Amino acid sequence: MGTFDPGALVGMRILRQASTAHRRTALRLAFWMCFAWLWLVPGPVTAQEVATPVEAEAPASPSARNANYTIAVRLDTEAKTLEGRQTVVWRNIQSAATDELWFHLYWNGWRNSRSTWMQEDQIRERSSLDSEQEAEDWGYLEVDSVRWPSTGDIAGAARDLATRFASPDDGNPEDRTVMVVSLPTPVEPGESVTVELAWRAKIPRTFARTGFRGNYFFIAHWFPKLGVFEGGGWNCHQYHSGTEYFSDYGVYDVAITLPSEYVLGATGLLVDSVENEDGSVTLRHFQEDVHSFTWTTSPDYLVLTDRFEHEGLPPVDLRLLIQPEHRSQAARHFHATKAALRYYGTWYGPYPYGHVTVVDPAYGSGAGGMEYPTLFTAGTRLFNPFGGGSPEGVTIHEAGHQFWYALVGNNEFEDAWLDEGLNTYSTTRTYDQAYPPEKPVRRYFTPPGTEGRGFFPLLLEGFGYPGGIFDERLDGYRELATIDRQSTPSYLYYPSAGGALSYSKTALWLATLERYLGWDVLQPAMSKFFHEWQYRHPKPNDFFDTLSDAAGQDLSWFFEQVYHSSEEFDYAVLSVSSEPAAVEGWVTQDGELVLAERSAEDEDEDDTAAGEEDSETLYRSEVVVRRFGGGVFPVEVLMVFEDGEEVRFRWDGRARWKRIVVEQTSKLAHAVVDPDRVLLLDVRPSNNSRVLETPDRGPARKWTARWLVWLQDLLTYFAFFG
Amino acid sequence: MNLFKAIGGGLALGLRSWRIALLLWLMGLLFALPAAVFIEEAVHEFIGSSLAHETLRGPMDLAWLEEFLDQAGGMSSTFEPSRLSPAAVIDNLELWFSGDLFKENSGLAALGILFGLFWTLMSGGVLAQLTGPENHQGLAPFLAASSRYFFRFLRLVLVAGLAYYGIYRFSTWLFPRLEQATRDVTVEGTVLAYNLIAAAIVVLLLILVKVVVDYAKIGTVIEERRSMSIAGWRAVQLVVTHPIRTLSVYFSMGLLGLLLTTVYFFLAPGVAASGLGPMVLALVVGQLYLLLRWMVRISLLGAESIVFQSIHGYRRQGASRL
Repeated sequence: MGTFDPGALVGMRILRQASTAHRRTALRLAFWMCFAWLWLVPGPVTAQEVATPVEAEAPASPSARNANYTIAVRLDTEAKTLEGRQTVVWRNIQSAATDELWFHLYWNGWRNSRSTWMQEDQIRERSSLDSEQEAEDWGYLEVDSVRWPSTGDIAGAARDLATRFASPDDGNPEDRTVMVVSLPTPVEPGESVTVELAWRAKIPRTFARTGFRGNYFFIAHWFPKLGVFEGGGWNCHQYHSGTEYFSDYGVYDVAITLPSEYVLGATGLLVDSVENEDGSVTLRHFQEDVHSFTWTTSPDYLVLTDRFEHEGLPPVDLRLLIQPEHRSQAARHFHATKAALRYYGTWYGPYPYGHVTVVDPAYGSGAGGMEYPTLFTAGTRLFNPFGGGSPEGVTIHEAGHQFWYALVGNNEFEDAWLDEGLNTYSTTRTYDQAYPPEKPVRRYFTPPGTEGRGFFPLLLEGFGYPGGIFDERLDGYRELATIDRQSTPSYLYYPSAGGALSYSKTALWLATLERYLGWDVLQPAMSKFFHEWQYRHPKPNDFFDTLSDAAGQDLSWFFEQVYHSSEEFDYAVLSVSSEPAAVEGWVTQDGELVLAERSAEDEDEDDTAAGEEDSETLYRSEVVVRRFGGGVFPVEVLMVFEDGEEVRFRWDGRARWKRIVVEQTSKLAHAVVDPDRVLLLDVRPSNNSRVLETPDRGPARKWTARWLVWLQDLLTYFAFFG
Repeated sequence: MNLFKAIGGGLALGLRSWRIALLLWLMGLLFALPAAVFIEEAVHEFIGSSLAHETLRGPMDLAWLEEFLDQAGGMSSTFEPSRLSPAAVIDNLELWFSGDLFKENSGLAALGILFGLFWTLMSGGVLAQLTGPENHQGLAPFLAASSRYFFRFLRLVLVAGLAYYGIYRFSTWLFPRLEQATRDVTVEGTVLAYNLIAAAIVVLLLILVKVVVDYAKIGTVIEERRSMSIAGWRAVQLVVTHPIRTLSVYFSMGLLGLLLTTVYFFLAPGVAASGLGPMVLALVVGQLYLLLRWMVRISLLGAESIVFQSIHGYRRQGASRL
């Protein structure tokens, strides 16, 4: 092959495209059936005898495979450009016809400062627009032609199709992230249509984890990509800075041409490699039943492999593309990935693809912590001590997205919480199972005037979350708890609220449900949801219905609050008291009214009771609990007495306050509302308890003494200038 | 006079000046105590009657601390985990390097500036004790010298303040440009190396100004100068003509200070232990560290005085007996 000709490659693919996917599945099954047959059936067999039942028993594909792509792309590492040709075969799996195809052109979000993505990014007060943008920093995706070939269910003469840009979300005429292609003939339900696109793209300096830094490239959401046709229309949102993606499942056959010294990591498996005469190499990757295709390349990657094996789960080949300076952290990446595959696989369902690529992005590339089908980016630093949660946490989280999003493909534009929240909850549980409690890390040597994080980390000993690992999520949530409802479409969330609402709030309410219903109820429910909705697009109600069914009770009261409202939960013990239960006033004795008065002896008894243990004295103990927040949740109230006895009360939590009175022979020591921390959404757990005796100042003095040393030391630095 | 003699002599002066160090440590404590009382009250109030008063006797519950910080304002917002641990001393080193000392908190900045002025007041007395004849030593001469040189030193410090400000401005100009210049570098180790070099330049500039200020003060006291312009200019000449001696003394004593900080960081009791004993021990170790830091600071001035006297051929005297 001489110079690169994407068209020739695409042409080759077009001829094979219609039957490639099906044939590959059949061939693979034929091989294994043949293998099994040879072992299990005695006597000679012929190829014909083996092949026939395989064809007959070939299972349906796990996904609808209604959006299939064959792409040939060439990377110019100097000009930072892509040149691509792609054939898209789309099948209408809805009950309505359409005469349009809607494509995402994500990279046009970084075309100029007028795009919706950039405008929103500015509102979110991130730095993209603050720093000086140079010409090479911007990116774009320019579609040169969309052709209607004479293939597919709908025949017709080949022609160029008309296109226009649409801005369905905000009407921004400057936004070019959604392209509408008008078809000459409607595509009826069940019919397929094939179109060919030729396009060019400028790779940006990293935006949204996509782009280049030096000789490092991370290429995600890079090609014209179909939206999702559902409910009689196209769900194809503009690109927003605060949200992610949504697309149908299909088969991807992608040939990438790049300099031969570059190491490539990509979705799927390498099925073909061709060395070109110009010194480049064309690497073809193939993957079925995924909803996107992502790749990365750099000449610096070290490639390491490992294999995940766990009883009851299918094995997974692990491929790690790691920066050479992080070589010593390779085992930590593998371990965390295996932890995710093990626990997610056990709890929800097995990872089916058999391979996954873990990418350690280049320093400063901004590409870390992102998920793509069969490939994800982790992200670490040169110095990263074990015990601080990194890179283990991010690796588990992004590996976990292979389950929540890659397999269960919800709409991240509208319901980002459905994958991010479920995954954050699962990440936290997995980390808790696989690692010792995380210690806080303070990073030092942050260059002044920059937004970088310090180069040198320090683990802080003696700090932790005794209330459980989910408490870590509370801080991020508390500040923005009431700012928006979770049911607001994610792309319309209050700027910067996505982290609190999609990630933290969901993790906290799932952990609350776990403690309320029990793991033995929640885990099968989530597993059921996973199995029912893998390779499909669930909506929030699908998840809620599954949980209610599994719990055997209507949980809508809970979801109504955590999903449809922005109320916060805050229960508190308002007051406690405990006094001898002597009666004053009129009482009935032997049918007569008698005035009971406190005598001097009673007062003496009180004094005795206060000073000594008197088992005869009856105490009237009173606890007032309050609901400060708008959220309602049934809670327990625990009263602990001086003799160690504990009394628990169940409160439905509906009223704004409740008084609980108990008469015991022991004085009350303290009271706690929600003592088992079931309601992890309670934004102010510090007010959940109250002791009877006024506490000493010991703890305040202990920590202030530490702070005092810090302040004195600080003052000596001021003396430096004097 | 070689470097080791100057450092040895400075350390000897520092050791003999333990009373001055004690005074400075005590004054630092007195400056800090009102703020600490305020913080202690805020923490105690937030703990209230909750069970946190039991749990916080041991390790710090980060959930509680985060809730406290969420509602904290002013000085209370500096009640951060690293500042409650032995890492506090590294926090301060970072604040000094970045120039964020003055941006951290307006109340603390005001307190710090006051303390800086206090040190300016005291430094005249300290230098007089370190360099003056023995019959001029004691509390009264100390205070007299402090007041005598205060306004001269104040003028010097104001000029030096402009230089420090310029260096910090340069720093916030330099590092973003370095970030820009390395934005195609994909190896963190390389970027770190560039940043360390840049940091070394910034620290060197800060120290250069500091050394000039120190020698200007020393010259003012020894040569009884009234003009700070001349004292400053003479100090610049001294540093320029004897860079090895002047800077190596500063760096050696600076390294000693860093070593002391490192030893404190590793030896300071952890925060997890509960009870009065560990609390008192942590406080005592912290105060001892601070006292030793003042002794190193005085030793540095002593060593610099020796270098000054040596270069100018003055007869060396001074043996602080406050």
